[in-house]
Amino acid sequence: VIAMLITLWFMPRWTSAIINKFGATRVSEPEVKFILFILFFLGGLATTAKSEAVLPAYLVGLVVAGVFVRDKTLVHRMRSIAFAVFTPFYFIKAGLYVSLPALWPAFAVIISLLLLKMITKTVGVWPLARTHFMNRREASYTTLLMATGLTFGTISALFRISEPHHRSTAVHDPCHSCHPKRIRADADRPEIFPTDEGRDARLGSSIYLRSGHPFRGRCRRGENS
Amino acid sequence: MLNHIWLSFSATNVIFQNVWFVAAIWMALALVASLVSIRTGISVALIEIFVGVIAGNFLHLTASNEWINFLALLGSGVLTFLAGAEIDPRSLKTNLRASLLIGVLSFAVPFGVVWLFAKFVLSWPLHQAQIAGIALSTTSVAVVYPVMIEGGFSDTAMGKMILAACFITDFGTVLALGGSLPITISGSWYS
Repeated sequence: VIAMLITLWFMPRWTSAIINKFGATRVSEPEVKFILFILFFLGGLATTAKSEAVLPAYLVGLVVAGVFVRDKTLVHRMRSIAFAVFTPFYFIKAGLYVSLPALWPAFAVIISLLLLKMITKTVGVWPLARTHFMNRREASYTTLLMATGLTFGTISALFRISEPHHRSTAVHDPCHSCHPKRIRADADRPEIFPTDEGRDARLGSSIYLRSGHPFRGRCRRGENS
Repeated sequence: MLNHIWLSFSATNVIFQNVWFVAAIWMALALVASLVSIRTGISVALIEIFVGVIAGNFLHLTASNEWINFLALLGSGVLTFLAGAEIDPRSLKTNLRASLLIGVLSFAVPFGVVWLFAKFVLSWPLHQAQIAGIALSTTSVAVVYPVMIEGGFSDTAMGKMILAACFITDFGTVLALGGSLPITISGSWYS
């Protein structure tokens, strides 16, 4: 924790020093490598401390955000690396965990949990968002976005599976979910969260499309400009 | 020679053992996902998850390779980093109260309600109910962030406020996981 705090404290200075010293146009991309190095190193520290590597990654992002505001090229580079090479594997893998045969017997449980999550998120987020944004559509959008939960949801779910005593091989076994006890165990397995994920967040975007928001193609234009 | 090539191609085993073919299949799926996403206007993250569901259930693709898991791990890390980097410290300070309130409530309400629901309505054991509450109380930065960029919200005050609130929610999740895991291991979860 101490090493992480020290690194986080000096991170903005180091990053801007590297950018200023070498410039942001070198072929060898020292700044990208530096950030990846820090990410991996802190990830290593976090996993050694039995925590998740995602948390320091978020904190590093938070502390270098000030540098990134000034230097947009670095963000775009990191973004293209991430979205081209890394994230497809992450999202497709998340989808692979969804075992349809195991899903049907527990369908009622999943739907009720999904509804419950949506309702509680709405209760927690919507009124506040409404008072802060003063716009019905934006508040609904915020609520729907806040009702997604892949990263940490899967992590929490995987906490059970990664335990050595657990039979993790049962994930793709269609029969295991027929047993009532198994159905219960299924609910905190990752196959449920990506689906629930997909559903509520897809809802979010479809609402936007219906309300005539120019959702489509904006990414491309934004990236090129 | 040709016969040999044909034989090696016809054996699907070979394809699934060759690291290049496996990478090609995954990239092809990712390409299809991004094409579909551009056509339909739905976030590419969600299409990729959906493609994964189809590939897993109908094409029997599995993430059995160590390097796929590693790349996926890097994906979640870099994505979370980028989401953190989108938060402008100045706008976080101005929106701190709103982000804190939304973040805390967006964690606490679902956590409490799902936990109680799992405990009393579905009558799950205490720790399973807790984990269910934690898992369903999270907000996905990894899903919110691509949606934000595609919608062009990542530069707006609202977008930054949402990302900051997501962070606070996830922080609650991590704290809750840290609190419940020791109990879980020492408790009689698997008995």
